[in-house]
Amino acid sequence: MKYRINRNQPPLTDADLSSARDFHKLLHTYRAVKIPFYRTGRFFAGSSAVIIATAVSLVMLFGEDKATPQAYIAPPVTQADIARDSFTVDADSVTDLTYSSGSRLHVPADAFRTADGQDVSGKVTLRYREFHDQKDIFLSGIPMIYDSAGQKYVFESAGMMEITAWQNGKELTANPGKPIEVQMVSNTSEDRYNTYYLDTTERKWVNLNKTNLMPVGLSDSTDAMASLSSDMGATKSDPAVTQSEQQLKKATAAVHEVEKEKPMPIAKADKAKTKFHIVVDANEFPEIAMYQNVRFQVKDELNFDKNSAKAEWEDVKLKKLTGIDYQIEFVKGTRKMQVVATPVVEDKDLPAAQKLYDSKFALYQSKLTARKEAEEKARKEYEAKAQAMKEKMDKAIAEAEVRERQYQATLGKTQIIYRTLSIYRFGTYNCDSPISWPREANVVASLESESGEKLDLACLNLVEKDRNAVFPYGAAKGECSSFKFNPSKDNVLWAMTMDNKLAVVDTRSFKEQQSAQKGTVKFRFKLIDKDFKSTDEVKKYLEI
Amino acid sequence: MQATTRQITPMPGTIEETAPHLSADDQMVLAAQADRSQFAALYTKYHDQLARFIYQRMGSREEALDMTQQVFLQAMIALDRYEPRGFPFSSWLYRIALNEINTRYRKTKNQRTINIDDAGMVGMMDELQEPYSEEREEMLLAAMQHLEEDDVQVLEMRFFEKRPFKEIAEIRDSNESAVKMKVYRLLDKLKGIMDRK
Repeated sequence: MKYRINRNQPPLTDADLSSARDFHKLLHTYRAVKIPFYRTGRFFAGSSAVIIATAVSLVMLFGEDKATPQAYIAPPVTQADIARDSFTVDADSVTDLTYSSGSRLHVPADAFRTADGQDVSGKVTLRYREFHDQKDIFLSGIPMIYDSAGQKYVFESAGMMEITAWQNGKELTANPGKPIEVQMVSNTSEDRYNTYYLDTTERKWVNLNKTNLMPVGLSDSTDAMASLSSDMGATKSDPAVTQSEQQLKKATAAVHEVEKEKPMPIAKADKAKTKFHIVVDANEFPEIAMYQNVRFQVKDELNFDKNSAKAEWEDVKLKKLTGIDYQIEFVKGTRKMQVVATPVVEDKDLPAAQKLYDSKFALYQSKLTARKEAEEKARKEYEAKAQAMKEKMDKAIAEAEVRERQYQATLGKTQIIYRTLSIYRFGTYNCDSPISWPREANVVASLESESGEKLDLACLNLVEKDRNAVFPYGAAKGECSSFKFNPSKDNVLWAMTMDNKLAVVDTRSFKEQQSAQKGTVKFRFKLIDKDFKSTDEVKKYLEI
Repeated sequence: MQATTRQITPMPGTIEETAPHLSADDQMVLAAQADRSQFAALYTKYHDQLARFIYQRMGSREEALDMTQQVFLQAMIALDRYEPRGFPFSSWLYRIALNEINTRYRKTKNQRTINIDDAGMVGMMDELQEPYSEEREEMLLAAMQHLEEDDVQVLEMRFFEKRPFKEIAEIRDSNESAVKMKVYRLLDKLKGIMDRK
């Protein structure tokens, strides 16, 4: 059989439709999957401007001597890039994974597409890694600057992760209809963080939404939330009420169906008036089609121009007016002509028409009475069940509110929580709050080795102990002309020299050297001339 | 509502020319083209009718509601290419939906679902001038198995969704006369198949 025939499928209910209606989610998905800029027609017109703007901003940020932009994501110590874990999943089935940090990934079936949008089957390799503290951020080389209306901020992170998928050496894309859910472990329970996606094409972070928080190990609280949703869902879709509602709608529809069948009395033709014949659709106008030899009699004879009657028309439309009149519209191309007419029969057909009308009307009356009684019965049943449902829902809401208050009370006390992210595009996601560079002290920083030689740095970063952020600064020819910091904080400097040596100023040295808050301050860096083999090896030198 | 006719008597009367104008839908589209968050108005206006349209062609309510979101997403992505042509915006959404439905059936290799109801079947039997009987109805359903997907779409819209010819024409990006012609030819074809059995 070519087609599956499904008879009298129950209709979608208002509850089905309202629960599915979610424009916010749609807009969020759209923003996550929207067509890359380079594929749009505007790319060629705008690309040179973007390149120039990017170059200009890099010059402004890093100093005039570094006008040549680096790769967008450039780990400062190549051998110490944060490692990725690889997971093999079956593209056709659901898989739940746990990352070494405790983060959880829920991979639905059909979550992947090829670069050209084709379905993916079979084994897929998911590559995943996370960045949680300042050391991870520094070593990742991921730009952490956020531009909001021309104002630049640094991201303070509550956790960042990168996810990509591969098959046979080719990078895959995400199926936005089946997003992977990531519950990423976070070190803070504060709710001021938004989710951002790193658009590497446009070289900017895109704000997606507020992250959803869920505590780790608080089974009572998570159960309370689950129970809340379950209670609300169960009450909203109580099958007994839904069924009753459907019965009522069906009964009301049945009444309306009969009302549409109400026979229309036919008028007697007036010999003095113009009449014409058209073939009507019995489906749409059964009240006319039931009579034999019906003619349409022009109502307003005075405005009836018989000379125009010679025109040939391509189509005709009929519309019921109030009473027993119809509006008839004749169409040819864009030309339209309207006339109001009444269906009539000649004298000889009138007795048969009258008899037919009487019998049809009696049948209509008895049918209508029976259907109205059925509708009334269905209404009473529905109202009784709806009242019971309302009482049940009020009770569920009251109980859920108590559980919600208990849950909220646990949030502030929790140190580790999950942040839930839906992956509509593969790449890098960050739970962040944009913050400004410190500004308490503004000096010219002279960047020197411990032996007093000027250092030419490839990158210079300030880290404050109590803020999970890395503040980048521009440096050229051994100097940073506007170096701002907060002297009351525990600060460190992490940098890379042009010849790939790690250069650090630790907390104690920074405090000793920060004496001046104006003019020039000499910062003397400890150079680590070492061929690093791992991330952990580098991190030992980045103690805060 | 409109009547079908095969024989038209020339008639006099007033003649009015139709002038192009920017409909409320077109204005909403223009706003949404500039800012996608403005698409909310079109989404709210058409969500339910689009969901019902899709559900009519599928066997699962969850799948239909999921696809409704997919269709709106496709519409938002393609919105810059939309050009007002005097048709309701819903016609464009329906065309995207039909395309998505066809793609889904082709990919999953599932049988295409045709949702029928008693009233629609009675309407088709009437139009075929067939006296109603269960046996003839079964024959009609069997005959429908011989139709192409495109043909089924037209009959579905006409008899099971009771759409006027004008609206079917808009959805199919066709004209009213061509749709009428197609419906009558399909009915003749069905009648022929039934009579051969």
